[in-house]
Amino acid sequence: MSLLRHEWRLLRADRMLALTTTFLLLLVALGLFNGWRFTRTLQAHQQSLIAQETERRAQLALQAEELRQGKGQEVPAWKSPAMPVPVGSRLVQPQALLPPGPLGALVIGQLDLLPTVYQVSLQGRVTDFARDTLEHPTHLATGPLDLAFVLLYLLPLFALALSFDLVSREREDGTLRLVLVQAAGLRGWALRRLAVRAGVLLGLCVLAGLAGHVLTGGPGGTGRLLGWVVLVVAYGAFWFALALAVNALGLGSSTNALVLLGAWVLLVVVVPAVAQLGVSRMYPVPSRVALVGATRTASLEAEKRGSEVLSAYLQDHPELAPEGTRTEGYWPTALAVQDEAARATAPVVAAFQAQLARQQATLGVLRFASPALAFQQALQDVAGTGSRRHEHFLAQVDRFHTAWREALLPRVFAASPLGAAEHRALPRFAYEEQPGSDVVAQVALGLLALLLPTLLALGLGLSWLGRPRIS
Amino acid sequence: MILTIARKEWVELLRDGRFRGAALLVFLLATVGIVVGAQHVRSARAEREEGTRLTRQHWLEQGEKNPHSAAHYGVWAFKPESPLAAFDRGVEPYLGVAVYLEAHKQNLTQYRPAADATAAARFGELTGAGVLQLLVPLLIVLLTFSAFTTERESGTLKLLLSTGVRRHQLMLGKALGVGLALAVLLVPILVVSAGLLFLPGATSGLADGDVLGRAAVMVLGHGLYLAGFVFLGLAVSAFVRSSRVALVVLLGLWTVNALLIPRLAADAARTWSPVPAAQDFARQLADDYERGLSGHDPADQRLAALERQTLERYGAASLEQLPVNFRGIALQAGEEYGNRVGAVRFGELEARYHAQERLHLSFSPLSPLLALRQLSASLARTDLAAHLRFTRQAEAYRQGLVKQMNDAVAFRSRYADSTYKADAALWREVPEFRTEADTLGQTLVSQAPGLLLLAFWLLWTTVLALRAGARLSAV
Repeated sequence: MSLLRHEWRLLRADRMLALTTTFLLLLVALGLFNGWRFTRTLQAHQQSLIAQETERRAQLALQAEELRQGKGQEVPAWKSPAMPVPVGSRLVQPQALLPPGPLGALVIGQLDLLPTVYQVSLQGRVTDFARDTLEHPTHLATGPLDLAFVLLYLLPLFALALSFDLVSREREDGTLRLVLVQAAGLRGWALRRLAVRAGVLLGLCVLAGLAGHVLTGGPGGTGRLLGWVVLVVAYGAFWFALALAVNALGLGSSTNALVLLGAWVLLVVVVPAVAQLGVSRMYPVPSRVALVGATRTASLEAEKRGSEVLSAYLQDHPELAPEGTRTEGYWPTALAVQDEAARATAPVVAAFQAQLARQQATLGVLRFASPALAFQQALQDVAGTGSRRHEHFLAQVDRFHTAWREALLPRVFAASPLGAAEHRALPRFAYEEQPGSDVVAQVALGLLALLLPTLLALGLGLSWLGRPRIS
Repeated sequence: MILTIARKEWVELLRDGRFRGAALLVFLLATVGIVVGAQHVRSARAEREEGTRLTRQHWLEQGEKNPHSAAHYGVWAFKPESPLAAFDRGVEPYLGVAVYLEAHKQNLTQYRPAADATAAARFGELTGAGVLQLLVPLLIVLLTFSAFTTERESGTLKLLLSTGVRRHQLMLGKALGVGLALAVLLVPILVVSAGLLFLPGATSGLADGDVLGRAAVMVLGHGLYLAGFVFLGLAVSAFVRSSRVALVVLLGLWTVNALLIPRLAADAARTWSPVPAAQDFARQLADDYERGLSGHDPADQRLAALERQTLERYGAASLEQLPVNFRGIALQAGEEYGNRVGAVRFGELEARYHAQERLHLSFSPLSPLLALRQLSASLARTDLAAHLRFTRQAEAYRQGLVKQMNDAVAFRSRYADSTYKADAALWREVPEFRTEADTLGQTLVSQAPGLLLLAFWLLWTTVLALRAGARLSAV
């Protein structure tokens, strides 16, 4: 205990620590601020979208009711709020919104790139109703300076700067013998020394993160927050353990720094890039250009066989066929054609999703090759800003799309007008949060991928320190 | 004297196992990046050419229909893949590759490759440019951090200075030595790239004078950037007392240049000159069209006015009596109003992007990487400017196509005739979509500030190194 106190005193006297922690705190604050601003902007935008939609729906319901009762202004059929097709495809514009992640202020993740708003319509899925982001591509390519970036890239560098000469400096200064005379052993001494440094650095990061979370009022539960803390500590611990192992090799301080930096470049820069390259080569996604082509070919075919497709469609959906009449006209045909095209291109879309899923799965294995990869994935999973929660959201968008069509299609085929009550009965999207068990499983895997190399480095370091080189 | 020092430095570096290992790794990564990049360019080219062929075929084979339906059916335009994208993919993964051209609206390009990739892609892609811009500077740090400190620590500096060597000769000699060691790495990378780009059959027909010129300027830009790092490393090594401190300082500078400033610049640009959310932008376009750009010029009033004007112009009493089909006239008038709205709003958006880029560039004195990245992507035609150029051409094509269809309705059919259909003869009248890339001269003009900045970066690091060298003391 007195050794710890002594070490703390030494560290406090060292300008390096003060400098490092101040700089790190500054970056953490900046990262938190950026994350908070991102989340807040996204929330405000989504709230305004919801408000607009609510108002739009109320107005349309009112107008539709007036039209049905023969009151109000004459409106052409193609934009009448009483007609199911214009209502379903362009008037209501129901939106499926993905709320910012429960820990969005701590980890922006993929939310700046992947769409958080889908506008659903009667049109088929393959027409891709996502509204893309207009963000400058350079900003997307660079990525935001959020807390996750500070932790993922910079925390290791700070950890290495604080501990690359943990043992080697004492050796170079000739004070190592002195230390060993006083201490119980080199292992215990080095471990305590490391613990003080790691405690200060990681403690600051965790505290700042927690304070930031409280200040920014994120909706994340205690479970997710706990997961975040554990991940940060585990990731930091890996880098400190690595520094210990390298120090135990008995090299000079400069060489230590070079070796550690090399490890940083390999694990944070090279391995992730090679992993991404590898999975995208192993499981190449079919090209979007081919998807466009396939969709066009299919819809052209379907269009040529318009009425044929329509009657086949009605055979599939007898409930939609008006009794005793032949359903002709543009809309039913057009919708049937779209459906046929969607069906024809479904294999391409499915292949696309299957390849992406394989990429994800392989990457899940590859994270054991780089703690940075593991940390990034687990952080996004725990914060709910990664691809998993997005997939969970997309499945709901698809279900909502189906519900929307099911609510309106019978009216399209029956050509029956809508009134206020029918308008109000149209479905609205409500996001259901990911089940916690899914998150826990993912984060646990990530944690395992962090702990294994940490334990390995720690074990190697301690065993090497057993036979110290003193001078 | 300079040559002697350079030779000694060069031999010493080549003997250093750390350098050999790191250089081999960097060489391998760069080669993999470039080979994969070249393959990507080749397949993307073939794919997009096939897409273009197919969309034309679809257009021609769409069958008999009303020309306005054909305008709704539309075509897809695929962005051509530039040959130098093999080396630098720029921001391509974050830009859409295709745009749907149809009646009534200007669409955004779709399908960003990055959105179809895993989150690991956000770590950055392995490309030749990435290796040269991020990893080679690290290698330079490794080569230079101890250039003077080791000599001082081992006492050879005193010996060296006592031989009467001038301090600036010492500095330049060391710089030359490091440069030679780097050349051992960079020349093979250049040879590999040149082989992939210019060998017949490799990416056949891609290499021409323009590509050659672009490649040359790229080499120049990267040369300025890397040479600056050599001098910076030597300057720090001469300034500070110990190798350890030199290393920490240089790594700090590398981190600031490569990681911190680019993100800070992006955040600053986003904050000071934000772009609208896509939904708001789309709604704004629709509102402008519906209510008029002034907000007091609603679409139905515009239509009524057009009706009056057209009747007056032809001296007709009713739309049925007109010698032309009013539906076509109205469609085209609506289209032109939409084009105006698009020009205004997309113009504003582009202005925002330019403002953001200026803000970005203002950070490049702190991080020359920003200037180099922009220069390199611009030369490779993988930057936003090249993308916007493509979208503008696609939009001009769309406007022409829709006008041709509307004119056919207006002048080849009558108002009362609701069954009018055109056939492939009309579809063939529409020319194929062709893109025209910017010339090297245009790129150079737009990138002059970046090039100047890089030249200035080399200048100031050289001055810094010479001054540090002049202050060099043996103890």
